[in-house]
Amino acid sequence: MRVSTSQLNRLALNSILEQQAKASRSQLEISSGKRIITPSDDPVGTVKSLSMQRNLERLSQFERNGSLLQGRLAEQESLMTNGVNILQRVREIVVQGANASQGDESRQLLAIEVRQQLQSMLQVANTQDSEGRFIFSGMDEATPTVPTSPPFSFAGSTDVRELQIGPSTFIKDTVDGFKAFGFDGAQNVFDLLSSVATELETPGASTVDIAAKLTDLDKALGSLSVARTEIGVRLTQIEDQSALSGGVVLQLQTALSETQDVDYAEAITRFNQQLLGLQAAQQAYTKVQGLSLFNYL
Amino acid sequence: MSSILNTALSALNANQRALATVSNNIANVNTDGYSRQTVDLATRQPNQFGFGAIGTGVQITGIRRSYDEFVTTQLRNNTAGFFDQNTRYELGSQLERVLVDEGNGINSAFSRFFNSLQDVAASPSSLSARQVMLSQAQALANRFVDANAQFTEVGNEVDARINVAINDMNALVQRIGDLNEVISKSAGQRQGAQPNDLLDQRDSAILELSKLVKVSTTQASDGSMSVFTGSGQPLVLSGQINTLSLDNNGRILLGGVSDITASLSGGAVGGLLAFRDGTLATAKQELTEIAKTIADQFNALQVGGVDLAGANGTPLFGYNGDADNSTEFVLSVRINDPVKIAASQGGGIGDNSNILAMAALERSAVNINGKTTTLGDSLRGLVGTVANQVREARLGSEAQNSLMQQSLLRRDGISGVNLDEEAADLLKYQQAYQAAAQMSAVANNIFQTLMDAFRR
Repeated sequence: MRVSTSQLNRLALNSILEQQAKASRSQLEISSGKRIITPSDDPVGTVKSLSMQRNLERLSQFERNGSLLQGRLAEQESLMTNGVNILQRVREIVVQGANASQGDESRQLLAIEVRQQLQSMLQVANTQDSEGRFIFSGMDEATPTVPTSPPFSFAGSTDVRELQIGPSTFIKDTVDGFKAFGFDGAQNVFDLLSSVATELETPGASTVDIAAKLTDLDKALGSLSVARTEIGVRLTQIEDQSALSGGVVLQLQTALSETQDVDYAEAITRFNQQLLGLQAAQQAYTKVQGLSLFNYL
Repeated sequence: MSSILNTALSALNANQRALATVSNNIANVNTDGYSRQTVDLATRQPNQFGFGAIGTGVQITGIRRSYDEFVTTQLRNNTAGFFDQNTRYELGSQLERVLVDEGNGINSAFSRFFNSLQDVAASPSSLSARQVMLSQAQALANRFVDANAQFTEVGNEVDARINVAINDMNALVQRIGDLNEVISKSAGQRQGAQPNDLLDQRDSAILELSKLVKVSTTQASDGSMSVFTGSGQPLVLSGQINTLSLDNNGRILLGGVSDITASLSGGAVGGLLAFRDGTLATAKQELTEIAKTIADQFNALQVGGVDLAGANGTPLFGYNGDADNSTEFVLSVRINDPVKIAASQGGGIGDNSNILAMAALERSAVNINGKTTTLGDSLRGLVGTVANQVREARLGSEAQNSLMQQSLLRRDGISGVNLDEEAADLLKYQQAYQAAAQMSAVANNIFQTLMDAFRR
């Protein structure tokens, strides 16, 4: 086959240019650390990484929601514990008051403390968070949960909002104040404390009547304990979800790196081979250039 | 003696011209589109004698260019194919860069917006959380507007390039028409003698034209060449030419009247048109459609919900061409008071059920351009679709480039100048010339011998 001079030049030049382009691509991959430099390098991989990135950001938002919720629930847990402590103290007072050796006067003193404990319980029920929202009022968070003077009625909402802490996990944000403070039973905890105080204040009250309050107090204690347990269950759920998410995040990060990051060992080997190829092409070019019959004329 | 001298003279003449041709070949070794020329030598009419015929020397019967019609046509087609794909690839990469910047921008703005919904869900009555959500909504809308503007800018550049390409095509068509005229005239004047350099120039002009659009040609008996677009619209008919123009709607007209946009394929113009009316138009349409879907989905929930003041919600997003025609932007935010975010479904200021429903929109099925997808997937898909087309164009461009290089090499193999070959020819003709010069010296000697004989 006949070969023209320009053809020889073109062939030699093309192979140099081709090797250069390949080497420059590898260099770009090595210096950026990325296998995908523009989306068209791997359209499927690009869409996959975008999707994984969004998933990671979404999971980190759920993680944020989870830790926010943990803080809120921990506060409510300690409030419930306060409530339980109050009721236990009142229970001690009642046991003390039911003792036949107590006179009206000493019972008066006990009643004063019960009324103080009632105020504390009202404070617990009407606790506001750092932004002034009434924690136990459900969705009506601007309204105080219970009026501070009788009649004690539940002024909040029994609807409780949920926060999303996982792709399909929603956890209630607050304790249902209506249940926790006994509004769903025969007597709410505030009326109960009020009636305990009244009983102790009643001159010549029978020890039997006073002791009868213990049953009601135990019931109220039960409601608060149930609420506290429920919070504990939710906190465990959040921890479980967080551990689960942590595993998923690790998997996603690994997969994301595999999709978009360069394999250095492979890339550097490839780059060296390409440089060798480029050198060979350049040598071939100069060798071919030196050949001419005119050299001998 | 005079016949010896004449014969020697004919050889001097012929070899000198052959050397001139060699010299011209060497001179044009790097000239694009030059076809190597060779002289055809033949014997002159011999003198007839009773005993036989004595030759009278050599003559040049023609100067041929090394040329192959098939290879030339193939080179044109492959050139048109390469410039088509390469233009698509170039413009596609430009669009891709917009999408890497803006599209990744859109995707991360989308991500931050949806995360901000979760923050409102966690504290529905917090004005600051609501304000952040509005800012993120605005940021998302801005990304859409930016991307759309960038698409428009790419579109403007495409139009400008089409305009330049049409001017170039017209100039080339004019040139081919002019060359046709000269070639057919010269063919009439000098019977059989090929105007080799003009033919090369015309081939070069047609090859240049092939970079802009795919053409087919037919040659008439007078040597003139007619040029048609791929689907048979005449650009050059012998000496008559049709010019192209661009109308206000971006359509390409032939002779100022007939719309031949659809029949132009191949070459840079084919690539520009395919990109403008395909990839770019689709991407733009899809962006608009996604914006509209986002607006529709959020607005439906907003309108069905209750805001922080207890009032019914109003639309959150506007889009270009929405019912109340309130926006010219591809996406806009229509609420500026954070109170007006309808986070609640009527359960009180702490109710977050409506905002949770909005957050769930990210993964709920929507119909965009007849495809069932999700908002998130559709935005990622926008990047993916363009990336796919760019990849296809790049692979196509690489394949067409190697085809074009192959035909270039094949043409060079036939028409290109080989300096070693020319060196050999140089020696060959030089030696023949020297021998002929010696021959005339011999003729002179013989003549002198005769003269000396008479002088005695």
